[in-house]
Amino acid sequence: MPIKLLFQLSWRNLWRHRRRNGILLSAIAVAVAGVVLMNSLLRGMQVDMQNTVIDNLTGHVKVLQPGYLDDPGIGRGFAVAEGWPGELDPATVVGWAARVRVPAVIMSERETRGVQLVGVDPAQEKISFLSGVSVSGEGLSGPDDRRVIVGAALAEQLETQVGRRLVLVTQGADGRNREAGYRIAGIYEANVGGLEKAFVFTGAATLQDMLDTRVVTEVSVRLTDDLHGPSMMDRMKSAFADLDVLSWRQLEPQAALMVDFADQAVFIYFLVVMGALVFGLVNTLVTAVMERVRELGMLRALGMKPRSVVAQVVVESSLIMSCGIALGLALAAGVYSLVADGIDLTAFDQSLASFGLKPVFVPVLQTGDVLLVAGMSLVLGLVASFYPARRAVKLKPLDALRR
Amino acid sequence: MSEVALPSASATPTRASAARVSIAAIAWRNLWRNRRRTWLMVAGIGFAGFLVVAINSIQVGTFEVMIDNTARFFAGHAQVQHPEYLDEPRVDRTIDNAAARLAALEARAEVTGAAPRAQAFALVAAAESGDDPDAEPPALGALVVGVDPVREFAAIRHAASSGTYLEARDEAYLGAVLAQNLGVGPGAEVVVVGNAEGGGVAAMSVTVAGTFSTGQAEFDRSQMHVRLDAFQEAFALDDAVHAIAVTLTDPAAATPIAAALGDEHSVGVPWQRLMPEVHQMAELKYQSSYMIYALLLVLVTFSIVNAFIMTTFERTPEFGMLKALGMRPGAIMGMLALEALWMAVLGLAATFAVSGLLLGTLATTGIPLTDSMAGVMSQYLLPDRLYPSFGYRTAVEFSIAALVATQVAALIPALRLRKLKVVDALRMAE
Repeated sequence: MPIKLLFQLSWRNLWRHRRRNGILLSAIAVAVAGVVLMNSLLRGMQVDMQNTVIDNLTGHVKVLQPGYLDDPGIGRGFAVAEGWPGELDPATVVGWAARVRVPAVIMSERETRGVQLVGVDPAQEKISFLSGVSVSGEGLSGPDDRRVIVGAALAEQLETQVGRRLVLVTQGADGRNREAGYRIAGIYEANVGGLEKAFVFTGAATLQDMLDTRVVTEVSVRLTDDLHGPSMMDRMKSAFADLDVLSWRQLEPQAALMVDFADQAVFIYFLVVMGALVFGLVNTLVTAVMERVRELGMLRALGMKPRSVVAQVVVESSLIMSCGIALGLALAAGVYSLVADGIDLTAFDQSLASFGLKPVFVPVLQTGDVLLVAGMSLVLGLVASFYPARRAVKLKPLDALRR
Repeated sequence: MSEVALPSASATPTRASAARVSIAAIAWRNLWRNRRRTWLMVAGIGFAGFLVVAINSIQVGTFEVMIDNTARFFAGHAQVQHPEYLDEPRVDRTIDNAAARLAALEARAEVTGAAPRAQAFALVAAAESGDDPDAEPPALGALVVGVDPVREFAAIRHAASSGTYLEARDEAYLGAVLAQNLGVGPGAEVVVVGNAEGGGVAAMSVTVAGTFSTGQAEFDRSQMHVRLDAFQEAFALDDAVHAIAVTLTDPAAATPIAAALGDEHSVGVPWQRLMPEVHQMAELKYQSSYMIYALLLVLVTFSIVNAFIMTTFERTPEFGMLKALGMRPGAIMGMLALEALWMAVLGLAATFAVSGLLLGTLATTGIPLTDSMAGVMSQYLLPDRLYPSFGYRTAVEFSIAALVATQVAALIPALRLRKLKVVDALRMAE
């Protein structure tokens, strides 16, 4: 039977029961849209979580002295290697930063808190969350800036403000405690909770002077894509021999696991949602075959091959599935355009922050996922037509006509 | 169609109930005229219901355990505190008469344990100067917690990585990472310097009894426990404490119980406010799952609408005949509604049977997790297996929703029957 005729026949069959097929079409569309949208939420969470971890002074790859993570301090510092970074390929590397990061006790006139004191070169920090924060007052002007910027939440705890002085106590390179006063240049607001209380920034050279050293404690590199991680790690291992070169996945295994889980979740969503759809789909397809028993028997008697009968059922199923997918994707695109700017989850702020998520949640629609859902749905349409098609083939033309 | 039993059209009022029963019976028989369709729909409802109950049961099982373990780890299911302590934990925000409060709390039936605590941020350092008098030992900021070793329930006490838990008055039990960073171990002297109540300097000198390793950086890196009496003396607190942490027989009822624990100088704070991130995480998961439940319910409803469209279409001649014989359209719709009801009841029975059997088994054996997954779970103080806990509430919610949805699904196609022309309908039978 010519393909064109087959399609024509199947297409017309669909229109014989508009209501029923209309509802089936809606069900498929809702299912496809549901899977795509739920997946976009999870993708958004994945992208957000990964970016936050990398923004959070981690970068894609980081160099540390072995043991620094267990016992951070200037005693575990190192000199930035001669010749590093050499030439960086702008296509793979966004930037890099060398920092001095030490635990410190910060004191205002009223309160005392434990923080991480980070000496930075502001020009290098375009790779971290520091470039995106809003600062009231002034930011740091350079590695020699002798002032500090503190988070808004910490400033509130310390009951202090821009222009006031703070005392920072930390251990110097010789093991002795150093104490120095710093004026507050600015107060920053980070959009992920927790950061504001954790980090106090000053100029890298200033902090090195205070600690009486020229070393740094970390070198962090941000890449244009996670894909370039392994080659950058190799490169850094040869530049920083005897030091630990770690990827963000090694530094934040928990976040990495959640990010990886998002890659699997599209399959889980698909199975759950389509599992509920498939019963209705099979039911409709079987009914479509059973009520045409006489007609199919007639066609068989007139010489239509069993193959063509099967093909008709399969094409019918695929046609309605394709239309449903198209409609579903349109529906998903419509809903997505409404929420693309972000969903406000401020009510869950503290929980989201413990995962490093922002309170305004932006879903992410990825072409690969959409194609995957569409492809899997088409396959499901084929699989679902198997049982009805078998019923159609098993018909004996004579019995069928006699009914 | 002649084999279909007809309800008596001439039923007298006294036999009305008998007629209603027979419609239910007819509806039941009608279900089995197209077995395949009925089974497909029952399976559809049953499967969707199972998914809903399974998702919820796993979440409930996970979060119940996570909340309980996290609470028992340190915070407790509730705490009695100074009304403003939670907002800003200052040393001077204490509750006094700790002994009397403790006795009152312990007398309550719903309280299984009560532990008084006083705590403050302070600088801690190893006391010994070593060989080199110039080598100043590092001073680190830590949360120093005064506890009553007899009453203390915090699971931290069982996490000793070296030495023993607190016993003598001037002993300390501190996080292993903190101990390492201070360069101390069991037997070493540690000095504590902080701000006492009233603005004085609080100083303590304690001997390390043991160190703990919980795997939770927050505790291992920054907590040091000492005896409450020693802490109260050093920080000039008399018999005041910052919190009395309690464990409850029913953690789910923490909010109403906590509300009853406060008085004019103190408030009861439930775990939901002590550990907001855990509470919100559970709520976020529960609430976002409703999206999936709603989607599943919509899909099942679509399937059932379709099944009833097909049913009413195929049985149009039959309905025409019933109408010709005097059955009112309302009664025919009632019959279809009963068919939908039976279908839903069967589907939900399947839901409960499968979920009960499968989840009941898994609730005792647990679902094993991959190593990396188990690593994350241990971060949340969870065992390396997932133990689902049957989500009764969600199961009941889904059942009600499914019953309503199937009725609506049957009603939509049945509405057409009102306009059914008997002659046309009978003609369809050829």
